Amino acid sequence: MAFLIPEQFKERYSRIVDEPEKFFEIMDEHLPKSFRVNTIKSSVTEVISRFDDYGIGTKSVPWYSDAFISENPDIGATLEHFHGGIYLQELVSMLPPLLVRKELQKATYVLDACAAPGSKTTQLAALMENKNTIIANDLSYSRIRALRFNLEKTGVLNTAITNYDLRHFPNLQFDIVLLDAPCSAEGTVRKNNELSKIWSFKQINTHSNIQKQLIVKAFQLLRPGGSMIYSTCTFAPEENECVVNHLFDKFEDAKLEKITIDGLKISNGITSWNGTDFDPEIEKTVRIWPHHNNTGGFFLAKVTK
Amino acid sequence: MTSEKQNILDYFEGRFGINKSYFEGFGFYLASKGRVFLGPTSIGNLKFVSVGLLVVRISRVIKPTTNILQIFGKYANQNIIMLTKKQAEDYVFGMDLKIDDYASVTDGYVILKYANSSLGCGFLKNNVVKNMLPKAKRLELKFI
Ligand SMILES: C[S@@+](CC[C@H](N)C(=O)[O-])C[C@H]1O[C@@H](n2cnc3c(N)ncnc32)[C@H](O)[C@@H]1O
Repeated sequence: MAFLIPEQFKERYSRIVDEPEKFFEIMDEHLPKSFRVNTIKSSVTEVISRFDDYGIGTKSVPWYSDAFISENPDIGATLEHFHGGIYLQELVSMLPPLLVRKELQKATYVLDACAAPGSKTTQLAALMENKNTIIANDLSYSRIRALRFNLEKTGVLNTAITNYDLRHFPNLQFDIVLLDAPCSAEGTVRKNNELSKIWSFKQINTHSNIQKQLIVKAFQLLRPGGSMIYSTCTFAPEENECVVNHLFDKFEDAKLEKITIDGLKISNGITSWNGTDFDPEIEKTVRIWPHHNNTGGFFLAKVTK
Repeated sequence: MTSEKQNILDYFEGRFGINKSYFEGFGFYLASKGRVFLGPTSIGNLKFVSVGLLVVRISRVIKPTTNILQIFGKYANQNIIMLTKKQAEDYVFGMDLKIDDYASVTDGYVILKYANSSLGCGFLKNNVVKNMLPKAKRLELKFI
């Protein structure tokens, strides 16, 4: 059965993507499988030499030395996966922690505001060498179970879990806040016929409203001088630029930092959508299109205070 | 908590030779049913679901967990059993292991190692290592 892309989806994104046909085409191809070496439990040299012995092919990733692509379907049945020496994770999902890699060296109190099932929490912990403190929060108790399982498996000790609706999180001050927001997840859909089933414009607007509340709260939890990453795995400007612009409207002390990732093709945020102009600074946000690097889709903003 | 903490540190040093200094920078948290968690020290005033990872259960004896031995096993120098490939596979699958002639190891909790990795915890008695791996973690390995 052919992969169906809703007409309205095509119409919307043809307006902002560089090569619409390539974009729609790659949405019909399967997403390469990738993993991250968990440096809490193992090392790149150790994992890769063992995978070589197994005959499991791996390809390195130009922008992240801990990340690898492998098409072997049995990667989940390796000793390294059992032991937590590797963590299966989509490549673009590894970006938010990387953007604060330097800041993490000095951070003592970090909030992963929407953390479950913990792909980014476990990566943050590895980048912090299992030291200092991460608070991993999520609204969904059932997803927290998966988070706990993943923290155990990867040997993360520096993390405490909370179960708040972020909008009611107690007023503390964090050095770094990661807001990996609930979203319509357009960018995770490739070759599984889901898009035509799940995609609706109404969904986008519902998410957008919640995201605006979440980003305001997350910013209030950031200490002056701190850094916050806002990310989604969706293309919709309503859930991305509009949300960051909302923060700019509300807070004069919100600033955006320019994002560059050596070896990864990125696109600047757009500065107007459906007749609304955004703050020119919004251009410093970043969208990752699937056809540029053969990944999922993603959006990132690095906010400072 | 201070006396339990001391007991736990003494236990890891006495049984496995894991130096107390490796626990520095972490806090010990006592939960219900004798469960003790090892986690970050400054956590702030919040309502927590859990802090850090479960490291031991204290009943009449101290029982170390798979979690803690997978992480700190590399600092141990005694009561370690090096598994063969077949034994490691069986252990990860959830089976008990028959061990012959391990002069350097005494009955009680042991660290099971294979190829540089601490796979976890077993209980040795009468030359049999009882599998302590939680069911959810058991797996049939294809590559080892
Ligand atoms: C994109 S997922 C997070 C993925 C996670 N960061 C990872 O890398 O594994 C978004 C999460 O936000 C949580 N969430 C939704 N609304 C929330 C709220 N109001 N407060 C806190 N968490 C919320 C959802 O339960 C979901 O787990």
